[in-house]
Amino acid sequence: MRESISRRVVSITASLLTGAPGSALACPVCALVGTSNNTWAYQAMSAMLTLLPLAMVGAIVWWLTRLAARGGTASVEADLQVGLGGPEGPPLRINERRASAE
Amino acid sequence: MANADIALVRPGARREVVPSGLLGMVIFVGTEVMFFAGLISAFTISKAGAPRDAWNLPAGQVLPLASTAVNTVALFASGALLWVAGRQYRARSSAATQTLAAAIFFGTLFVMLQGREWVGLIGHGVTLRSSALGAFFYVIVGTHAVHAVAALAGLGVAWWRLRAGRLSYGFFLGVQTFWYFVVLIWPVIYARVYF
Repeated sequence: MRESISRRVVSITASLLTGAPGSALACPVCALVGTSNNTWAYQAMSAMLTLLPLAMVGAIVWWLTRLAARGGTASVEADLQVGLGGPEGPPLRINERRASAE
Repeated sequence: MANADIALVRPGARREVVPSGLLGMVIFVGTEVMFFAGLISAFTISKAGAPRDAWNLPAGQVLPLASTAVNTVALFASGALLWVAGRQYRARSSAATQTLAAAIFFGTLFVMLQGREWVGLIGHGVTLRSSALGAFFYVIVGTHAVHAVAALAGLGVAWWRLRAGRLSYGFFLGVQTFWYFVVLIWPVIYARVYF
């Protein structure tokens, strides 16, 4: 029984290897590689797609760090108070409700 | 215990550095930037690899550069007006409602003019299946148009809430950020796809 299973595995693997293409292309435009003058495009776009997310994450982290480090986060917080009902100071939130319930 | 809890959330102990809505929108816009980067990357590689005479629209058609430049001006005007509306809102000026409405008008004008161009191109046989350039054009520009419509809907909600006196600054910042993304990604698309 075990022998027949392993024989089957070997034959299936052999047939898959025989039928597999010489090269597998991972994207629809990979076939163009080397056949035309688009190497620069590949390199430039690879660099862009690699660096862009890193730059964005870095920019967001830098922005948040700067806001947090700025004394009272004056500009954003002052702006917030406009929407939260006035300049008396930020309203108490979740814990205030808990305290009043107690 | 109750007093201690209140003290914990007093200003200085825990404060909101940035509105959650704005931070969420910034992260979402980041993913959208990568989405458009992927589309533009595919476009650039395909264009670079295609034979020069094969990268055309059918029947000698060309993309409408000049009229799209006019549409672009309308889009930029909308972005500038939204920026002004934001300043007026922070200053509690009642003019913010009119300025925001004007921003929405110019944004809608952009979408409608783009739609008119599409009708003209389709009438001349330029479709998704007519050529590779046509397919890329409709996918990239169409995706941008979908984003513009969604952002305009958000701006419409903001305008409605502003009129009713219920607009929170976090929501306004969120839709502003999304609209600025729509405005600022457009020149990249225009320069890359139309030229």
